[in-house]
Amino acid sequence: MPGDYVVSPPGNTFERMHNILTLAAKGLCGGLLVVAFALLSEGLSPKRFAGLFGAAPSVAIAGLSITLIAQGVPDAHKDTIGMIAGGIGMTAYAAAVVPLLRRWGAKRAASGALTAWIAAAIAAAIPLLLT
Amino acid sequence: MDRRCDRRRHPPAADVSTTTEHRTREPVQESPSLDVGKALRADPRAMAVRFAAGALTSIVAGVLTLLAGPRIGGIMLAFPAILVASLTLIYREEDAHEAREDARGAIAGGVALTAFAVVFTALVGHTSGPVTLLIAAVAWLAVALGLYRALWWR
Repeated sequence: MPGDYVVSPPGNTFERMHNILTLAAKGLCGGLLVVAFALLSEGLSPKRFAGLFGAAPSVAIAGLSITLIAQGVPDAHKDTIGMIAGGIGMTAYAAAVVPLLRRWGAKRAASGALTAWIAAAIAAAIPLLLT
Repeated sequence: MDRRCDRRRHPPAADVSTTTEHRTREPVQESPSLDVGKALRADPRAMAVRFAAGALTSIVAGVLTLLAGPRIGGIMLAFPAILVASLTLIYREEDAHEAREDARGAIAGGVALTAFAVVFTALVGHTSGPVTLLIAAVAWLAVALGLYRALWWR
């Protein structure tokens, strides 16, 4: 009818804004925590010891903190089930990139080893996500 | 000529280091130490790259959670974007040997990261959120330091 117009339900607008703010908070906190761990890693020696902090749970701590506040415990629980698979992939990535750095340049080796992360994470995710 | 500038203009080949190469299973003679001054002198551009990598990974994990659910998005919480950025920067600023040493440490870090996720999964809902995060972070540190001590520190 003339004069009628479609208006999104208030819930949708609120939910969209909530999602955008949650993503922005995760991005900001994730970036800041990564820098904090990177600064710590810069000051540490030897390099192998500093490397422990290259796999620090900086993004996870930021993401889970925001998820606990914004979405609650059930979502945080499901997040970390997936993260177990990602962590196994991270170990595979680091193990694969060492020999690749001997053969190739940094960019090629660092990006080539991502196939190890993907393969290991998928292999670990299948049983974890099906349970 | 300044070594760092020279390396930026002429990036090193994959393996030009003259430093003695340690194998992954060989112990490291040097004791771990922290130089706060060195950390504070860190290159701001390198830190900006790491901030961008961390922020982007966090946002991609959040978007995947919205699109495919938290279990799929959770996988991205352990995406090695920061390690990719770090290895590339270390390779460019120092050398291939140092990048490989950093990656060897990250193997133990990756195992510890998995332990973080396992501990969090087991405890969340039984203890408060902040306490669960704290215990999981302590578990990460304990596993990382424990593995380093057991495998490499003599």
